[in-house]
Amino acid sequence: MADARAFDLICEEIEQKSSLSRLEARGTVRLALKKAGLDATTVTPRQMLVVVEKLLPGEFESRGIEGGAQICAALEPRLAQLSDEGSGAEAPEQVFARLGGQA
Amino acid sequence: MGSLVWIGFITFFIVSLLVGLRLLLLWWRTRQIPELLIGIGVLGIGPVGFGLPVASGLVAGSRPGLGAVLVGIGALAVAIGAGAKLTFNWRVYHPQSRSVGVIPFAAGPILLAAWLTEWATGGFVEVNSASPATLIRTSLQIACLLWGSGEALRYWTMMRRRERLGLADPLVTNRFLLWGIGAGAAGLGSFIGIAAQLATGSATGEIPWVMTSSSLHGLIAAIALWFAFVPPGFYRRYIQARAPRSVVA
Repeated sequence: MADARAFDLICEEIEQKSSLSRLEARGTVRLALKKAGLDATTVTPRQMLVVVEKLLPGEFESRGIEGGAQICAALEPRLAQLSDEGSGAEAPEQVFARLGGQA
Repeated sequence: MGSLVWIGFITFFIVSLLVGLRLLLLWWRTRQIPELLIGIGVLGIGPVGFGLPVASGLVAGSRPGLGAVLVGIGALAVAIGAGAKLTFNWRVYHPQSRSVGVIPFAAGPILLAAWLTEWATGGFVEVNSASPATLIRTSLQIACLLWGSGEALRYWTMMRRRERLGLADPLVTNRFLLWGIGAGAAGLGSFIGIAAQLATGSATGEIPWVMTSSSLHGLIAAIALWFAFVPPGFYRRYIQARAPRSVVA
């Protein structure tokens, strides 16, 4: 199953802006996503934006990468350019939100 | 004790009937497949699949033919309900996975074949039959419930992490937990019943502790179903109030 566009974009940007390799960049973002309860295949730009703001700086810091906050700040405008559409399939939380609705 | 046991069964029957109908009404409005699948699943395994065999026990003495028909219809409802829940699990949690999609497509014909075999061999004459076909159908029924429970609880842990970041609605997060508990209780209760039946050779209705267990599991499932899909106002407020403060505006 292919990774979400927001995930690929962020990983590519991190690879360019930091000393991390492609594999390291993707691993770092995957760990941040896992901590957020998200998945690389379904994460939306809006969700990724929160991860970039709240969790990714800590992930950079724990790996001793300097300028993590600046890298993250530079990533946010790139995410904002993406439309907030998911993988196409309906997410389980959307289904469960409806199931509690008024019949 | 006997009347206490019936409290769990009756509560489960009424709640699963109301929730199942409510989900089908929701489907009528939204026309979305998950609502239809879960509505059929709840109604099939719950009130119809559970209620008709109980009703057959009441008429079997005077009209054994009618009793067998009721058991047969109940078994068919369970098979349809299990198929719907298996499809729900695939469509909701793994919609893009072909390998997971194989499960409901394979289970559907197996459930139908098991039911036809039971029908052809007169298996519905006995309410608590333990023929191979009955065991296959019951196993798939238990599997769909426990699988659904596992998926819901797995997703609940993810939603809790999202909730802390302001990425999930507390009520929806809690709905995954309740559905996991409800489906799990129903699956576990069914598993204990069939396991005890196989181990002792007695019908579940003739083993008092199994009746108590089934009633308790039914009661837990009923409460979880009601709070998940028809949450009362006080419960909504409680869940919203205890949600972790979001770190995101």
